[in-house]
Amino acid sequence: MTIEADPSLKRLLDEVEARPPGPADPLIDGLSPSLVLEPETEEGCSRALALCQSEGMAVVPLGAGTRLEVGNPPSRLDVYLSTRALAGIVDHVEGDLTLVVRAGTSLEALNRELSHARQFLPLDPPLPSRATIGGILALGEPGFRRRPGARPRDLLLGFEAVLADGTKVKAGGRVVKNVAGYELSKLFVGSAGTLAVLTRAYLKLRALPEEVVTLALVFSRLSRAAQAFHGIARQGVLPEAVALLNPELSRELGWEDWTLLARFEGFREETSEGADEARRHAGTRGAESTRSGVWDELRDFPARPLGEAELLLRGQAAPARLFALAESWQDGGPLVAYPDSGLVYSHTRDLEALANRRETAAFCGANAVIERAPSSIKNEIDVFGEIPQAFEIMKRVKEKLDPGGVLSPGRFVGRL
Amino acid sequence: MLEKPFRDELLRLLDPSACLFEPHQVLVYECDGSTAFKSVPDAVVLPRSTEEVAAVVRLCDRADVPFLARGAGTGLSGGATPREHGLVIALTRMNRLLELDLENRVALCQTGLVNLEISRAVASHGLYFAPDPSSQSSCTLGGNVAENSGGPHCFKYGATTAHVLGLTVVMPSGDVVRMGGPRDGVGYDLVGLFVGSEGTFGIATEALIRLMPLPETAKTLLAPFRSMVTACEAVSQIVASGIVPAALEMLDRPTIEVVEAGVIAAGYPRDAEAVLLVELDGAACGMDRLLSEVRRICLERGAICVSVAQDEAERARLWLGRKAAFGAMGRMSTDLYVQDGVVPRSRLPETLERVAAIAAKYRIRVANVFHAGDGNIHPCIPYDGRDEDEKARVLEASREIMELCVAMGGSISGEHGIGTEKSSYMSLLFSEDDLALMLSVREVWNPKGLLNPAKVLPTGSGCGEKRSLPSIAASAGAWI
Repeated sequence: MTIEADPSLKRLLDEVEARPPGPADPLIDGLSPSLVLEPETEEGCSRALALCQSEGMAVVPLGAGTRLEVGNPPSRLDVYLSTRALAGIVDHVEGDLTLVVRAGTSLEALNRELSHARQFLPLDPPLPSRATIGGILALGEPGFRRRPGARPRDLLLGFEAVLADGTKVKAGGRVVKNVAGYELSKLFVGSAGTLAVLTRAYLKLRALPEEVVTLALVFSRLSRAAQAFHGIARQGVLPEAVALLNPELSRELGWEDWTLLARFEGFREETSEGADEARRHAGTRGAESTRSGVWDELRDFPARPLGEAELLLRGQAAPARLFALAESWQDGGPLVAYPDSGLVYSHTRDLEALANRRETAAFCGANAVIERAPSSIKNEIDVFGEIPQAFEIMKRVKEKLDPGGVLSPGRFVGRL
Repeated sequence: MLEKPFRDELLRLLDPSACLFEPHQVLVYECDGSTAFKSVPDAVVLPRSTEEVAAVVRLCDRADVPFLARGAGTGLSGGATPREHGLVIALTRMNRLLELDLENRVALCQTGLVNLEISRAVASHGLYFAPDPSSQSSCTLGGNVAENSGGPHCFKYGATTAHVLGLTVVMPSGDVVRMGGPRDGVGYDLVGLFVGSEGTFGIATEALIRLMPLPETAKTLLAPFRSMVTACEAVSQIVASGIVPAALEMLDRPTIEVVEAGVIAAGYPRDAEAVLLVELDGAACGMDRLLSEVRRICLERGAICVSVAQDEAERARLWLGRKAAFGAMGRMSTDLYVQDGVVPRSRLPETLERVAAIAAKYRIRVANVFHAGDGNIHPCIPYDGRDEDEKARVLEASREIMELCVAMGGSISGEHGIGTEKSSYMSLLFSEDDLALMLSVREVWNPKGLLNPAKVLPTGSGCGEKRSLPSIAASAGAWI
């Protein structure tokens, strides 16, 4: 059916900024929307959502579309609501290290602007030159900086958003400490566009570090890498990030065997002392300073081509079980793990490997979420794996905030 | 008043010593740390387990009796006292550390456990629990979860929400739900949403908390200033330089005077207009450079001098003066109203000047002791609760201070919560639509509204309470 022949689509086309999808617009699991709405103002975004709700159209909020593979396939898809035109810094108060930014702004553009004041937003999602603030917060995944204080949930002080019925709301505030009202920022970070469309984010910034030092420690055996990590995690100067690479990824990046990367940021005295301390935990294969650009490759790991693998799996274990999980997932493709937080990303060959990995994850008390997979697999298997115990509350939250089920239907946990 | 069958049922569910019905037994539960808001509960129960809490909650749900949870009652916004009547479920007997997992640096605790007890229990392993509200020697973990409590050190380490990984919650229906856990759960961040919900979503009975490694070293600097404005400028410059102190605390002259006059005298210079306490922690290696940077900034901004505590005893004394400042204000009057507001750090000097002007306008005294790094101010207003006219002026001034914080781009609470005290101020900050969203989220958890009713959000429709002031109860002559 053409747009002109569908009265609902025709109404959208007539009343809000909308266009038919073009070749540059991404697909979600092979699906394409009938229209792309590109409101130029928050008011326009509100009008568009109100209209979609009244016409019963299923809406998927769209930033740059760099991570649309994450999540279950939408059960319905009528329109994209693009935040592309809602971009730019609204207010940056240098002295307070706080920022108000529109959702469609790319992280790289933002950090370029902030660097003039020697500040930055310490988030490291894949493809930052395109990834938008709205999309990054909607997914809520931290990058390689995984210690408390640098996760999206820690940095979002407040926000403005449009609810499914078009109501414009705000929560939190622009100050770095605030307990007025419920912590809705925590609810919206990671809600994957199922509860609202974020239009403005109020964020906390950091001063750029004086120096970044990266140390690579290579080990023939994983158990030695684990020992070294436990030593590093207890030293005086703590690393800003630690990553573990399996031999396959390690070889690709210029090392061999298991490699532990430790990143130190801060004043010169701290970074050099931190690296010196970490060197003491090196095995017989030694430790070397390396280019900090390696972190960009780890940052982009979840978005890179899968090669021979069909799936990208994300596992989350208690930190103490991480090395066991990494060991059981090591074969069959590159793997990177973040021992500070117990997170593992691993290329996974096929459904059989998936089944094995989910089994070993369960044994390690971990979960295993499919980050990327062909739609044929995603249509059959809930990518989130087992349903969390508090799922009933999540379901009620979704029903309360989006009673018509128009926002990203079917995409979330339990196909909410 | 609770019906006899209800009371009998409580006695069947719990040990008789855990059920308090007599007026003299429940009187101490009539208020929290702010004596300003009082309401005597119908009864108080003291369960020992999640199952006992759930049984009591199921009973309340069936009988439509309003109820709420309470920890040590050190809160300052009336969150842990009934608004009118109802049952108080005090969790102070649920004070066990259930599991200590050193490898993952987490602990599973019952929520009636006292904050400082946690750090004491794990100190021998080189760990501690980071949130440190001034009341940490008596406040409970459950209260910290409810209020998303901060404290001086949350400037660097984040408030309670950054340290809670999982919760066991008794829902208002009596169902027990576990959320979060050692591995990040999938789905909505319900733990993040729950922390700070001020006891209106459910009753957290167990919490899995993050433990932090004790810093290798900690240094405390004392910098007295002749002007509050220049002291605040020094704070902004320290933060902008990229240094992240563990704490940045400020006391003004009236506070310095009252602290120095008492048994907790910390050695703050009495001729200073402001005293800035800076704590730096972390690795020993970079400490000299950080100390000299902070010293240089303070002196450049006009500090009279800068001294560093030479030993642990001196450091503890400097901090005791700060942490016990509220208590010391008992010297000033019979009652104390501790305000809590936030402004952008860069607007602190202007804000404090205008707070002083508001105090002059209403002929009240104000002493300021605050978390300068966060822009979190605590104007403390001593008053005589027996003087109706003074009480009215205190409330009017408080409202103006809240309006001022909002006008500065700030907030009406940084860490004490909204509770009973500030629900009528919420519409200063939020639109009716914003409040309606919060209400619908609360209804997901607490659909019948029996749990801690009439807290956080204005009652009635949206901003119906816009112009009303909270009422201060008649004084019993107590102070905090």
